[in-house]
Amino acid sequence: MTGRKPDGKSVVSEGRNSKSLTNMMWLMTTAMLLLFCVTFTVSMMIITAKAERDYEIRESETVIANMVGNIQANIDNYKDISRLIMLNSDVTRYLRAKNADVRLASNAHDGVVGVLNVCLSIDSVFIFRNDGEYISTGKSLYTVDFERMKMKEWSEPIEAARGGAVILMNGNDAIFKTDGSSMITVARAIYDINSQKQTGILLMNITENMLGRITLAQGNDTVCVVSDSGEYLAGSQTLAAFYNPDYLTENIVHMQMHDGNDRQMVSGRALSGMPLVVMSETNASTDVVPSETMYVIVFLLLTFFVAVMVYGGFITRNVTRPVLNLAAAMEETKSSGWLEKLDVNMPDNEIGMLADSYNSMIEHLNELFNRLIENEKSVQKAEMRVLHEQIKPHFLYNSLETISFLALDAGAEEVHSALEILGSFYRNFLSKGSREIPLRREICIIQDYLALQKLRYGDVLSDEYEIDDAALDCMIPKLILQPLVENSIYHGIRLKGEPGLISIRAHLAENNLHIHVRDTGVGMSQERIDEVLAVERNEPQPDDLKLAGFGLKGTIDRIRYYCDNVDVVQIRSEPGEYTEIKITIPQMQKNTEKGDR
Amino acid sequence: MYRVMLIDDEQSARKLMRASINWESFDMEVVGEAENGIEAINVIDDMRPDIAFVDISMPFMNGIEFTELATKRYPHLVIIILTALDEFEYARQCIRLPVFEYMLKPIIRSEVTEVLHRAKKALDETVHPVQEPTREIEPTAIGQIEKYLRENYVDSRINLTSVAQMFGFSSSYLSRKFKQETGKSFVEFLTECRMERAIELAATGAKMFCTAGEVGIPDPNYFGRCFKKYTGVSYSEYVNGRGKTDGK
Repeated sequence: MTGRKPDGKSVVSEGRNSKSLTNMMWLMTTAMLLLFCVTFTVSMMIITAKAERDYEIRESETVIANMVGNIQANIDNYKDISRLIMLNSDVTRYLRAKNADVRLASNAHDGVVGVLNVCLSIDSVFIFRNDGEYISTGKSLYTVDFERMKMKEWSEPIEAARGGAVILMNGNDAIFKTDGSSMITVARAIYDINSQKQTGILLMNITENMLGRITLAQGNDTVCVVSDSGEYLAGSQTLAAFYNPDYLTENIVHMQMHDGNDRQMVSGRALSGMPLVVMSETNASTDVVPSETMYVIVFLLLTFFVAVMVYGGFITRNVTRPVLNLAAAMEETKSSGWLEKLDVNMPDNEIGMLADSYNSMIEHLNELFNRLIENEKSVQKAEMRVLHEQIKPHFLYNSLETISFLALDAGAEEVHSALEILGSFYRNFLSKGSREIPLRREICIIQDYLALQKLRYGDVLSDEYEIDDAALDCMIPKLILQPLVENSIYHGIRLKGEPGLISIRAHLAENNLHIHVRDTGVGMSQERIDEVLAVERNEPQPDDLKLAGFGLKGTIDRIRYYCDNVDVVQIRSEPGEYTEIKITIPQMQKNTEKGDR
Repeated sequence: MYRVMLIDDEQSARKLMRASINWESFDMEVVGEAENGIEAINVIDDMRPDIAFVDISMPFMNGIEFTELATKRYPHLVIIILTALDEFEYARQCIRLPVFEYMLKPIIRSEVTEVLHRAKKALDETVHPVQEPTREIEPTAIGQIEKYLRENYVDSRINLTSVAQMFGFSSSYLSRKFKQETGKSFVEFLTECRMERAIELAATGAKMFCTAGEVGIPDPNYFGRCFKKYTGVSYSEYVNGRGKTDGK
């Protein structure tokens, strides 16, 4: 890794991955849990409310039915007592007499009291004669509204029963106790047995205590009895306050009432044939829903919770994390700069398949690349062959020989020599075969080249060589020194305008071949050296190599490419004095020059 | 003094070789040239070279083919390949053969002289086997050889040495004895066989290169020279002259 940027990038992309997958997953899980809890709670509430209501209705119905039964049983009892009074002979005699004297009245009173001894709850009995005389029993003080009693409105409901018992409140609103407590009146019109004429009216008043006993039996706090006008009679006074005329029906009416924060259900019904309303209040107790049921539900909820968590964990461990690992491995492969197969243990499932197909894709890509490279190579080879064909060295050499002979024949020895050097130069320069040649041959090329250049520039050029014998057979890339020498002439010595010396030195040391090419030319500025030695990151393309191949920079790049090392070329220079290029080529194998010699 | 033969289809190359090297300084002389393997096979017995410079790419018989034949027939001949083609395949083929040196054109005197120094040294060290007394060549054997030549002159590769080797005689002895018996040299006789046939073919108006192939000298240039030498007129003149005589 050469500290490239992709590191940072990979972290970013990884972060984004985890956000979109893992987080989404956990978000989904949480949302699911929440939704489930809410649904659960709501349905629980609904179910509880329903259960509560059912329970309350059941409860209240039981209570009310009890009370109604009790009251009716009591009232029936009192009806019987009133009948006993009505049939009492003293009472009958009292009513039948034309003039009711004190004795008759007293006898009647005693008769009534005798009957009353049976029952405690009877407050008082009033017996009115048709002439308005009356007798009464009772320990309390009473006010009697005689005016009202004269009104037809008062007597009508009693007489309509034709002797039957009628239940009324406070003697049909004609007799009131002075202490303000209410009474339930059993009223009867009394008829003579013989004449069948009405002889009087019996009003038997029963105290509230009778009701109080009944309500007490049900628990005073949750039940009450009121009159049909809403007057409190017995039981809970606060409950009585909830009375409203809707309860005046013989079916049970349920109403939801709110007393502050408490919610309760108030049920009530009227008693048939009586001006009474029975009311009951029920509160749902906490254990409306059985605790076992609650445990089961909570257990289910917990189970579901755990299941979702486990599922989430499973997905994370078996899907998300392997995917992340895979992505990280791919990223690593990418940043390594090579198309390598993934070397990561992947589970034997779809993720593993993904990794496998990635690997096979890499394989396929490598195959394609190799094929491309092969193609490129063969194209290059073909191009080189064409180039070589175009040069036609055979023709060139034969022509050179012909001209050489002509020169020799004409006595032009120098021309012959020059042609010979030219021939030698081109023979080495154009020689085919391996990319590597022994240093010996590269030196020959330079010598021929300089000999020809000396023909052109005369005494301006001189050259010297200092080559170790051991170095002569070292293999070097073909044509690396000639371009350096050429550079020395054109960018060093010729610019100076003075005779220049090119010296080539080479020696073997520590398995490295060291070559120095030095010229006494104008030298190079440090900037120029840096520019020439600058390493371009993008490796030179084969095309570039060809183009720049004969320049100084191109040659340096080629040497570096050959040695796969940037430091193999060094340049030292003193402007105006000299330039020295030092090349270090590692020697691995012995000289094995293929083909020609 | 060692004898040098130059075999190259480029005349200028032969001339340059002759002119640019100071042969006497090596105690050598260039005794002959040939344009290709065919010509070389036919003249080599007369020239008896010790060293042959052989080009590879030559028409009709290239340097490789020639070298294959020559190394069998002349085991002491120093063959130096000299070619302009820097082809690995040629080099590989030459390694198979007992070639003394493989040189690339264009020739460079320093290289050539270096090789000649070594060649001379090698020749100096070569011990020529004492001419073993070969068995007497009966006149009947000469008759057999004559018969053989008449039947096989179409084979372009036969020459004195090959026939001598075939019949188990030394070539110089056979050469002498042949002349003694027939009054003609071996080469003269072989050429006569071929030219008689060539004249017959020329009478039919056959193209020269066809005739050349038919009579065992597939190189028409060399054939032409042989024909002219033998008949005194060139092949085309001969064909035309025949036409004229026919016309009259």
